[in-house]
Amino acid sequence: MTAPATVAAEGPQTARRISSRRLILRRFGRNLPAVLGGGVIVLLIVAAVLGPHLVPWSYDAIDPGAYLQPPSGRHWFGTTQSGRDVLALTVHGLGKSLLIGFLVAAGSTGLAAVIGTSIAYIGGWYEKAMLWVVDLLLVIPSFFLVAIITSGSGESAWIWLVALLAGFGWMLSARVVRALTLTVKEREYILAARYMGVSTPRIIRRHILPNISSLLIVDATLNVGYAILAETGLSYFGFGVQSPDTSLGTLIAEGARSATTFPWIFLGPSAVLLALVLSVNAVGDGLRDALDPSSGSGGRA
Amino acid sequence: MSSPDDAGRTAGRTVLTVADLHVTFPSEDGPVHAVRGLSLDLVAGETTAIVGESGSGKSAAALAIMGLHPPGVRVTGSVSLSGTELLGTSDAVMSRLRGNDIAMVFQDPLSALTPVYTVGDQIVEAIRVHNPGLTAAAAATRAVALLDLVGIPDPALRARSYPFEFSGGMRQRAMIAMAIANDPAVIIADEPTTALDVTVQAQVLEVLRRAQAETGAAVLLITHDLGVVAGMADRVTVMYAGRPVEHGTADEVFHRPLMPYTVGLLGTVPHPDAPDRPLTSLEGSPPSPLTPPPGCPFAPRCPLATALCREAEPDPARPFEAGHEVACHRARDVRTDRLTYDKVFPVPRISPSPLAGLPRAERDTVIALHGVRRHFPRTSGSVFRRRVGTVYAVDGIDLELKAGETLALVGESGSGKTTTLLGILDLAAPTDGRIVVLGKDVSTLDRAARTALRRELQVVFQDPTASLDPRMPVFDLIAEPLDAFGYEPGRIEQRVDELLDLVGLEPDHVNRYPQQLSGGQRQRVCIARALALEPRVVVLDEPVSALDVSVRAGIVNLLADLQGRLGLSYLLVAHDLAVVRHIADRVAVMYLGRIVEDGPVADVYDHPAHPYTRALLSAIPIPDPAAERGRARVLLAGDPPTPAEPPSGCPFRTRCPAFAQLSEDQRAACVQDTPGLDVVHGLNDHRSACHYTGLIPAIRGLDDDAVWPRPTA
Repeated sequence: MTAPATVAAEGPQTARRISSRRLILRRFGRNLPAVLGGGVIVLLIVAAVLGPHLVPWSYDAIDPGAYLQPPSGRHWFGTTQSGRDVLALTVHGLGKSLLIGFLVAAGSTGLAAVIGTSIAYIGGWYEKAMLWVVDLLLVIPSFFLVAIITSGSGESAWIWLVALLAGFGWMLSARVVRALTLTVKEREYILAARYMGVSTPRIIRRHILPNISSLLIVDATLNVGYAILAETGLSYFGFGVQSPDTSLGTLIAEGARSATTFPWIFLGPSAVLLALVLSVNAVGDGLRDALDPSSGSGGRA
Repeated sequence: MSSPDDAGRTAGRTVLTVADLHVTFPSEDGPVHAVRGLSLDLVAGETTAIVGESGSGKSAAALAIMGLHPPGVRVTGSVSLSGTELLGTSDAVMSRLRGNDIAMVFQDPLSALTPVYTVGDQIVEAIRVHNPGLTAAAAATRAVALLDLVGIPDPALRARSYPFEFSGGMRQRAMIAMAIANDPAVIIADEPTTALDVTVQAQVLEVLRRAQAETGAAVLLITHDLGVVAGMADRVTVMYAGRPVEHGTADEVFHRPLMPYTVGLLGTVPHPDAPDRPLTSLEGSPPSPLTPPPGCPFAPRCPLATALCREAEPDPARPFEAGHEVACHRARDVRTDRLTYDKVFPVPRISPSPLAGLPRAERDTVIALHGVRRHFPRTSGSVFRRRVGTVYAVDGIDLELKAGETLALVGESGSGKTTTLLGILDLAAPTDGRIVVLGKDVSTLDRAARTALRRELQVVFQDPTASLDPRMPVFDLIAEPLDAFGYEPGRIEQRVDELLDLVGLEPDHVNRYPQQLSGGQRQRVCIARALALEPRVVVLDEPVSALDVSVRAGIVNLLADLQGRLGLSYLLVAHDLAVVRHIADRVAVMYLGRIVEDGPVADVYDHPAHPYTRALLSAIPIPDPAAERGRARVLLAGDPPTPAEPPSGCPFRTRCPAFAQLSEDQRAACVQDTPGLDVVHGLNDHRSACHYTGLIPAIRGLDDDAVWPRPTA
């Protein structure tokens, strides 16, 4: 029988036709939290890029005599115990956290895409072996491993952090990608391409990856939030980004010790972190709903 | 069954009246008017059919009558059941009516039955929900009686089965049993046989007729299959773009259609008993329900359209003459000028084959199968897999496809047609036997030779929507095989242009995505892609069965024309036996992995030798109510056995109507020996695998009258 959705979809598109990209944008636009989240992320990125040039203080500069000052006209967010400007630190930390978040997301989603599609499409012993690797990586207590490796690597700690978080973050997504690929693989256009004589890497690149791209986009977005939180967590315990470099996590760790007496050190970075992670998740949810035609963000009769 | 207990049951009385029904769906782009002004009277004991293409609003109308649309959908007009208005009543009131006074049979019986309860329990639930006073034991007895009524063998035992243990046909019978459980006044059947094989379709329609006779209900049958309508319906409503465009008795609508759309639709359907009748194609597709044109929605596709048709939409079907309503400005001309389909619509020109004069024996063999078997292991256990049996998907078949001809494989699902086809396309060695494609034994091919052979052997799949990557524009889709075989970009562009022209698409289609094309256009893209590398053989896997009826003929004609122009050989798999008769030269009938009959299509259709072929042919619905009425049928019992445990001897003996009438001695041969293909007496090149081929035409119920209708008058 003809479901309502197909009744609507089956008419020929003689009249104005909306490209799928614009359609997704429009569906995304109906989701208020997602749009607000997107705005906040853009603002935060602008702040992280331009901020260091606008704030009169450098993050590693010390204002002699202004130790542990509450917010004032001179230091908008106050100063730390060592006389560093909290606003400058927050902006710098935000930049580092964003960098880590986006790099980890790109890395782990990329790994998940390549490994997930190839194990599903090629199958056989390769699939068995790779699934075993995936299961193995899932049971390794990655938090401790990351903690141990990053704590001894000084300045370049954040690069290690990115590599390790990406390296331990792709397995669950890869399993989802694999499951999706298994369904896409059975579609007739893949079969048709095979019978036309198209090679395997070409089929994966041209037919499979574009068709699971919506999942990958959503996965990458959500991974940004995951990576920022993981970095914050590690840095809070002193394992992630190492001093004098700073991130939101190190700042929160530093401020938490005196949160009740000198709350400004703690509040600035925490508020920024909260806004960032909430926004990223709102955008992720919004993208998921916009890309999924079965979600209820349709119009009205 | 309980006796009729309410007033609405006298035959001939109108039980359900639909007046000016409108259904509007919300969508991204604004409201979609799915149904625009449907009026219907359902009469007790009669069957009314709604026919239309997908998107014509027929299912939306049925759901509106049942009150099953979600809250966002706007439904206006009136639906009254024996005088009680149903629109706008609460869901609680409708729930009491649904299943009690109005019952529905859905298209897909698997999703309509709950998988975690037994079939019997589900029927018991349907009974007790409306009869709370009935004890569980009484309801269970009733459920078994209902299953017996719809022809489920061993009903007491089968009532304890789960839906997955039922075949598609049995599930649909169970659905019908559930629908008639409370003796409804109206049964709505929405495409009840679309998902079923033709022999099972014949059984289910028979059950539906019996159910109607038992309950005296009015049946509303929604379908796109004009053959089914001809055999079942007393009255027919044709819907187009949400409007009822023609309504009348089945004989009036089929024999004296008034609306050019109906005329054209009837012209697009092949008649299995008249193979030389040309098929006219109804090009184009219905207008978008979002932005309907100002005039008649059919005007853009109508050769008779005038300026008036393009400006003013005719009112929904109005009386034209007694028992016949139509919505068309030109209806009077259609009647007075006696315009038949071949006068209204262009008759296609089909290019003759360059090989037409060459006798079959002198042509090259392009595909040959010698004793091909394809067996799959059945395994059990998840940790230690062990083989517990074998699925005999294809079990020793011989086929020969000659240059320039069309060979059709027909049979029910599970008969091994698709396995045979994929076996050839894979170009890999079968379990046993030899596959020879263009003179090369596929088991001897290395990778490079296999890829080279793929150029010559291309495929068109059933569903063009599924076989085109939705993310690629038409140009990339058609260019893909050219790209894979290393054509230069300039040459690719030129070739894509040639191909678009060849399959009847416009050059500006290259930038469109598949979802922007109609079903027929999509299948044309698939055909263009298959022809890109100038293959010699094209494998057609159900090339028209996923398309709307109105565009099927266009594709059938295109395939026939291309065969003549390019000298192609087709290997065709189809379950639509009327289409097979129209385009195939030879036909091979498969049953349970074996070929039971093969030969030239005219010989097999006019003088079927095997009992299975006779049953298959007699199950094809003929789109002609008069012919359908004069027809006796060979109804097969049950479903095909599973290819995992085929019967000994002749695979067909468990369902064979002839076997039942043979003597004990004669049966021994059927049980012990598997019959081979033998030339049928007197006819050249026509072979049948039956021990008693000579006896069949004389056997009661299998005689020649049973296959095709006796000529009336």
